[in-house]
Amino acid sequence: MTIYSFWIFDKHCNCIFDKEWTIPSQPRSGTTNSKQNENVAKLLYGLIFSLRSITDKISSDPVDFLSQKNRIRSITTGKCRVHLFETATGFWFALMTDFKQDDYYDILNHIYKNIFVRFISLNYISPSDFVENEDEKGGQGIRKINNKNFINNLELFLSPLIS
Amino acid sequence: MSTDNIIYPSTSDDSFKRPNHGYDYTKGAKSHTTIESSSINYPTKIYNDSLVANRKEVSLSSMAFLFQQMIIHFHKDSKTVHEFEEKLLTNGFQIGSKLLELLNFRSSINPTNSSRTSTFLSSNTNLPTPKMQSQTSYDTTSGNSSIPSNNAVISKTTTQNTISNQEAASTSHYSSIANTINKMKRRDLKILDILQFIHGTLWSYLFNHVSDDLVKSSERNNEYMIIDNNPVLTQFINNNIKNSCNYFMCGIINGFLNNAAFICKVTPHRMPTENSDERIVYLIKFDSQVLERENLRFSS
Amino acid sequence: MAIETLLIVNKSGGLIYHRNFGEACEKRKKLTSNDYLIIASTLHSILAISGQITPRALKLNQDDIDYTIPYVPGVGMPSSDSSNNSKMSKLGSFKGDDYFKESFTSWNKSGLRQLSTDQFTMFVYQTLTGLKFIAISSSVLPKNNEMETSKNLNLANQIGDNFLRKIYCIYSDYVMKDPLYSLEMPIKSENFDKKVQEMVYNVQ
Repeated sequence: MTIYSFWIFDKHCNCIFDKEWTIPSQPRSGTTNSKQNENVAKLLYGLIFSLRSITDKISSDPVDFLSQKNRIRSITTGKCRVHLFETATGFWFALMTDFKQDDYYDILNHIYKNIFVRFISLNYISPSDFVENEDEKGGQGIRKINNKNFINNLELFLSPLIS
Repeated sequence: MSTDNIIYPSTSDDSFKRPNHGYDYTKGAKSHTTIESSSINYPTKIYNDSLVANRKEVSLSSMAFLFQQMIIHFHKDSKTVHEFEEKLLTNGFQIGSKLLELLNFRSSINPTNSSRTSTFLSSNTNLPTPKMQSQTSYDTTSGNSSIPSNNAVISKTTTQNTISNQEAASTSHYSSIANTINKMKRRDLKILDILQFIHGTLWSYLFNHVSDDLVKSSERNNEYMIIDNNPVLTQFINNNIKNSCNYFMCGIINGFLNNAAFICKVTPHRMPTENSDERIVYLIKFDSQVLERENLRFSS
Repeated sequence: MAIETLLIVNKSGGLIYHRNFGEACEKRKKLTSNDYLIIASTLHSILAISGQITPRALKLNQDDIDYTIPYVPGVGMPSSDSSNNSKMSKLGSFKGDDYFKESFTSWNKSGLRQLSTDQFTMFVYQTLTGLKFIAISSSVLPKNNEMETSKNLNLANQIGDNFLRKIYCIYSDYVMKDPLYSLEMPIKSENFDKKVQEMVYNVQ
């Protein structure tokens, strides 16, 4: 049950956080918000975006107001599996793992509710929208989450899962 | 010149036809003694193969691909559907005429152990045409007998003798297939007999099972039908040209019957039933002279 | 596992076969053939792009991922008590009672293989020649509330791969051996349609 990396995208097509675990046994290893992952982030965003547009085209409309739109749960490639979680505010949480587990919805939900909302959204100082001017929209944004509390709690939470 | 009247043996190797003296621009200068130094040209092995059936299976996929390419080739060259069907008919015709001879021969051989093994095949592949060699060996023995005895000559004659013994043995091998035939199968003279032969032997040779039905038409005297519930060759072809492709099989039947002196015309018709969707009926229409002959000879 | 749609994409990304099955497709939005063409080419490019996304941990460790797909018996074959007593096998040029009986290696080493959403699951099978078979099935894998390893998604993936490989076998019989079919063109073969329909019916 190895988790390879964790990504957060916002509604302006920017990657605002990424963390990669290179050595599975050490949860504090790996890179956070590294520059090398920028290209991978863009590819990943494009992949998720195109698959979402295909899914929207194929799926039927929601029957009533309360039932949800068809959302993507996971994408399996030949080498890894990407689990996706979308929030109502347009954030995407992506978790790249191996093939052993089917569904990480609960974990991602927990990360969103207890870690992200608590340390980022409810934080007065941290910006709610990571884009400050028009230039940083459309995938050109450079601001990332650097909140230590957030990162520490994330590592703490995910460390028993990375084996 | 003098080479024009020589009838060359039929082989697939063309170097027989090139003269051994003279300049061949593909090979360069040649000397006169190259007759011995060049490799001995054996006639193709196909004449040494046993005529007895070796149950061989061919992959259906490869047959289907070959058939497909043949159809594409004919389809491209023909301007009308009729021309395309005629081409398939002609090609099947050639196969059918040869099959008549082969299957009649095979049905005459008694199914004993010696005729079914491949010993015929293995003993003949190593030897060149025995006839040519046996002639030379006879010549040398006759030549040697006139020379006064010498050690070397005696040994030469003995070796020649052993060679000629071997030739005799191989020629006896050659004739032993014929030795197993006690009674050659007679030609089928009646329409029903030859149609039974097609329904049974020809179909099992081609498809490993007898054909599904053999019917005489109730309306017309000269029409008979052979029914195939699942035509194997055309099973992958779509319905727009499927019936035209069945003309190949019709050609085989046509060649078979025409060579046996039953002039006829064969056409395929698709008649699906609830059991088999792809059922094909091969309609055989015999010529009036065939019926007349049948009536004259066999009617009481 | 109910298959709803089958798409076949050739090696240049063009759609050569598309078919909806079952009544569930009435619920879905009506898509024009143009829409399907767009979907096909998008999937073709996604397959290529997803090969680039390899986590660094995998690159460093070079763990040998097992690419063999085990044979799942009985996928798409009629039930054994059917009253077929014809001696000839109905599987075209394949002998025996099933198209293949042993496990096979997946040729799709890094591209997209499966997409699971709330309403459907999409399987992608890529062949050595670049042909892609895409099946959209209405089965949805249940959410697993426990943390133990579950094999549901992997098993579904294997069934999907087995099924699509059999469709590939049918394709190699009834499309490749058709004299009037030109390569990479849309498939218009009744025999192929019939066989695919039978197989989809058997899977349900």
